[in-house]
Amino acid sequence: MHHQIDSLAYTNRLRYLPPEHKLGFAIALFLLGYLAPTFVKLLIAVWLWVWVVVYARIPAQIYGKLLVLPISFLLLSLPALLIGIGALNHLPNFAADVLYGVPVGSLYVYLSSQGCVQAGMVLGRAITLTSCMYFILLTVPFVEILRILRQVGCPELLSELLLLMYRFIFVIAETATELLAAQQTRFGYGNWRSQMRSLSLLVGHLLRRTLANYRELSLGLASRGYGSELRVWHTARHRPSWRYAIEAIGGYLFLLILTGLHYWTALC
Amino acid sequence: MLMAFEQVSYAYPCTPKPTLRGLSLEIAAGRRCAVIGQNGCGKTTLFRLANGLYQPTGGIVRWGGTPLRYDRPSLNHLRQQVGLVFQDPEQQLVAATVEEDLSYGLCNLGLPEAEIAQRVKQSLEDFELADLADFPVNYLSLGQKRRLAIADMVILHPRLLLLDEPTAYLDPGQVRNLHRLLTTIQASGTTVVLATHDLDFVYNWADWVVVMHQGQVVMEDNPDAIFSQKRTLEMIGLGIPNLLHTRK
Repeated sequence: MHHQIDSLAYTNRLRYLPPEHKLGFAIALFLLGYLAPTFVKLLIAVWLWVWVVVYARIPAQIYGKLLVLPISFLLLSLPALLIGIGALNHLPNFAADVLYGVPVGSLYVYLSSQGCVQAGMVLGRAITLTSCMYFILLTVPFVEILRILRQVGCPELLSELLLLMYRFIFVIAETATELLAAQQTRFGYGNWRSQMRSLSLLVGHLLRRTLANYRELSLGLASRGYGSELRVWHTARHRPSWRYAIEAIGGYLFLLILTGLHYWTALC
Repeated sequence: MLMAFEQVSYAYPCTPKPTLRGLSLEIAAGRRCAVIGQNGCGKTTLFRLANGLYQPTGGIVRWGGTPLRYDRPSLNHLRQQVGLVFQDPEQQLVAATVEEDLSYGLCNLGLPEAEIAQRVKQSLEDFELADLADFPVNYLSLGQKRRLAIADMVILHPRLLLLDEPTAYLDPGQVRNLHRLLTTIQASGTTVVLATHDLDFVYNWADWVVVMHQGQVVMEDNPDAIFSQKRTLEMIGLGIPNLLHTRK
């Protein structure tokens, strides 16, 4: 069974760059994206689009769909930031904030200029930080993220749990898919009632199979000499690239300078 | 004699009947042995007893003449010598990539890194997994997973390799590959014992056949002698290989 994001992480063109470099790059941009002004945030998002779509060769359509998901949630909450409501007789108190408004009974509903600034900042931050997260997810395989976690001192128990969860989430997902297909061939989702019943049967069955899988996995681990740790070895295959390193560092410094100039100008 | 079962019984918890009932069997070194029997006759239970995963409720299991001990160091030592490949390879593939999974057992043994690297590299070549070394285990086909599961055990250089229904879900081409692979493994000095329903495979590959029925060994002999007893085999729910039907 293939999971799309996981597959892309293994097949992208930046796969063999050292994961520490990619993670460091994304985290640095994440921090800058949090602090930078809106226009720099958007520059970061565009730059990451280049890294993901052009350099890593992730299909633009897929990247776009992935970005749309969190941004749609954000867009749903934007009206709360953009729209202001005040008492009509207190209009002079907030008139400076009004970009456009209409009276509605005794109230005044308006498009807030402060709200627009805030919405821009929130939207920019959301797009940027989401882009940073997707850069990591799409270019760094999960197992390499786990290796780095171990290197930085993440507790063994946690990293092993994450590994086993990653390993078996595919098994569980495949089992669930097969059960669903089996139910569908027997009209299990024909109407609302049968749908609810079939879903409850699926969940119960999945739980039983998961417990059975757990028992078998325990025996499988024991048969391979499991002690108390999941220790493995691997060949280091990563190749740093000067070209990408220079662009990453140079681009980051440029954005940092822009951010610095913006705040310097604001202070002056 | 590598391994011996002396009047071994085993009953799963909360089941009314024992799965193995006073089973006696000796596995000689250097054999290509196949265990056949109906579903539920106790083949899987037998293999798990051999690997020390279960402790018999009656009788003794011996390895090299010595009764098995069930403390952790003894079991770890046993499992270096006796490799068990499960019917469902999914239950034994625990690491994220092929290379890491191969190294897992070696890391548990505490071998030096250089030796691990050398053995993993050799295994990748021997089992035609070199192109998949860095590939996630989740994305392997069933045949590849089965090959990896076998490689995971062979890399430990066991003296006895047990395979539980290795031909299940394999297409004819994969079965032929498995035949070659197991012949190579056995030729390198490992005794191979497998459980299977594929009687044609048994007839072509095995030099010793053990027939189980209701938790006991009812017959053991070379394939020609076993499959000449068609009526007996049919009485216990088995049959003879299609090859022999064709010849008749």
